[in-house]
Parts: sequence; C-alpha cells; structure tokens
Amino acid sequence: MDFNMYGYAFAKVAQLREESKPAWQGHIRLNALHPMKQAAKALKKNK
Amino acid sequence: MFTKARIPVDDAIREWTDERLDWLKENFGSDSLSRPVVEPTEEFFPFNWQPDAESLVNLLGTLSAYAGVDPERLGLTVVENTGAEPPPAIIKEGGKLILPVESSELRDINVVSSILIRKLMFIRLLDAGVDERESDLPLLSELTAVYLGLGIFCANTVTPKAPR
Repeated sequence: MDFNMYGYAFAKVAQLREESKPAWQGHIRLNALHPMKQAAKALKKNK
Repeated sequence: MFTKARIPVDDAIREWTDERLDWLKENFGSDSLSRPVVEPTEEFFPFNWQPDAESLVNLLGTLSAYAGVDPERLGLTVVENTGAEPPPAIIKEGGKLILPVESSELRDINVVSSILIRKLMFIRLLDAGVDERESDLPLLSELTAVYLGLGIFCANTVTPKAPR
C-alpha cells in the first residue's frame, strides 16, 4: 500500500471505530496523515 | 475552493479497500475496533530494544499477542543479507512457522516491527482460509494490519520497494 492508500484505510477504520480525531493519528507519518485527514473530511461530507 | 475534501485514492482502490474492510469485519469480527490501536511507544513495547536475538524474541512475543497469533506456533531465524533474492515471508518447518528476518532489518525497531506485522497478518489470513495464491494478498496483509490496529508501523515504513 502507498501513503494515499494507508491514509484512506486509516480514515475508514477510524470511522468504523467511531473516532473523529483519534489520538493514535499523532504517530502516523505526515505522508499518510495528510491523505488520512483529507479522506476523513470527504467521508464525513458524503456520509 | 482550496479546501475541497476528496478521497485521495482512485475509484478502483477505494472500492477494493471498502470491499476488503467489509470482508475483514465479517471474518475477524468487530472486537478489534474497540481495542486500542498499537502505537510505537513504551506503553505498548515495555522493553529496551537492542538489535539482537533476545530483543527480537521479545518483540515477536509482544506483536504476536497484539496480532492474535499463538507464539508457540512461531519461530525466528536471522539471515544475512546476500543482495540476492529476499528470504521467503514464512518457512514451514516441523509444524512451526519460521519467520526469517534479515540482519540489516534489526537496525530499526520500526522496520523490523513492520516486517513481522506483515508476516503475522499473512498467517491470520491463511488461518481465515485465504488462498496464499490470491493476487492481492500482500495488500490485504497491510490492510489487515490497519484493521487490527497494527497499521501505524507499516505506514511509517513505506518504501518504493515491493512489500515483503
């Protein structure tokens, strides 16, 4: 998986865990964290 | 207009991820979603890391507990880098699953953790009946790590190299 795939997967799993701003995201490298935040916004908007 | 949110992957990857997450939920249940995500901290890894066999055994014991794999089934072997083909992901030997680790991978606990996690996820998937010839198995192993709360290590060690 590349950084964008990880970002999307983390956002989906955070959604499944019902965590909007999980503390664990602070340990994710920026390369995957940025797409995660982007995906989380899009998922929230399209919910 | 500059902050428009969009999914950062194309439709095919989004659909694959969504379908495989549904499959993981169906096959591995939702218990893992209420357990803490494993972070690279002393709280989750309460031992000193040294690039030696004792630390490696401790690390595998810790990770196998988080991954839900019985450590009694597992063995470890450290192989020297020859620059040729990397070792196989898992070696089946005398009823045990031997996980080969290259000596150079021991230099960084994050790197060796992500390699062991991929191997443990591979075992979980085989246990769940996934055919090891499935073409998406490497990707599915990494997605399984994210689903089971072990994905941070794999994401933080992404390299252009194909995952092992």
